[in-house]
Amino acid sequence: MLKRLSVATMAVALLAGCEPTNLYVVHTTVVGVDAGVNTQQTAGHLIVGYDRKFAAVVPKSVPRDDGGKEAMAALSCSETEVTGIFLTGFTEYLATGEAAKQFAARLGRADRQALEGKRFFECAEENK
Amino acid sequence: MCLRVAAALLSAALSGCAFDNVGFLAGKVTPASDAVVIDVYQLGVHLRTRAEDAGVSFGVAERTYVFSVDQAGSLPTGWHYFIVPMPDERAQVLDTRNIGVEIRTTAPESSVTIGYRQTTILANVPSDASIILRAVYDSRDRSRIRLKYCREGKIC
Repeated sequence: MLKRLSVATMAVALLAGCEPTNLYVVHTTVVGVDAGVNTQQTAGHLIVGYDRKFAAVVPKSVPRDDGGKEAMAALSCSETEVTGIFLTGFTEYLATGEAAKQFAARLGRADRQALEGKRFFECAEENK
Repeated sequence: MCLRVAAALLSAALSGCAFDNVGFLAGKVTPASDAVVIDVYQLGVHLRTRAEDAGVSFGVAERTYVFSVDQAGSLPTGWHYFIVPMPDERAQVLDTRNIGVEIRTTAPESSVTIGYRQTTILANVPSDASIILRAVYDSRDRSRIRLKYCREGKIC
């Protein structure tokens, strides 16, 4: 069994004409022939054989109330369990938007709210 | 009317095809901790229009959808055949395994696979959402599955 742990705080501020509108955390395992292209049609792949991917796709910007755009805030931690070539389980912790900002601020403090946050986001405590 | 529905279901079953949650398929609805797990087993052709799982598959497929309790409402638990109850909302977690041909037309990538494919979506959140999510998933033990999904940053 293989466990992978990744912790990432992501903030990207680029403007693009055709970018994903959702944040995705995705895993794929393929055995055989696989061909694919991303939604922007800027990248593709052709695989013959075995391949496993684990990826997070983060929108580059989000609309603000005043009509502008800003970077998407996301706090994410993924633990995956792989048996052989199969993903058999995972634990995903994710906060996005204002919640991610509040969460990140809480984690740096030592009060009751911070404790609640760490209990919820267990991986933050483990990787301190 | 009932006769027509029955005839449609029978023809779908005989031809081994399914459209979304109706047709030649079986499903099991299982309650979990703050979540409802729906396992769908299908043999033959399966055309899907759900936003998180759109595409077509040919072959043998097992698909697992995890919804929050709020999304699922009061779905009848247990096994279902030919019509599997399914909320209209997007599943919080999706795990699919297909042997055969799988065509996926969903973001972030469209693909065609011949052979075996497992796709797991651990999170799928709109860019303007302010949420906190904790999902525990185990494909071998449904009793371990847990889901916490809170909007506006409230710890729940």
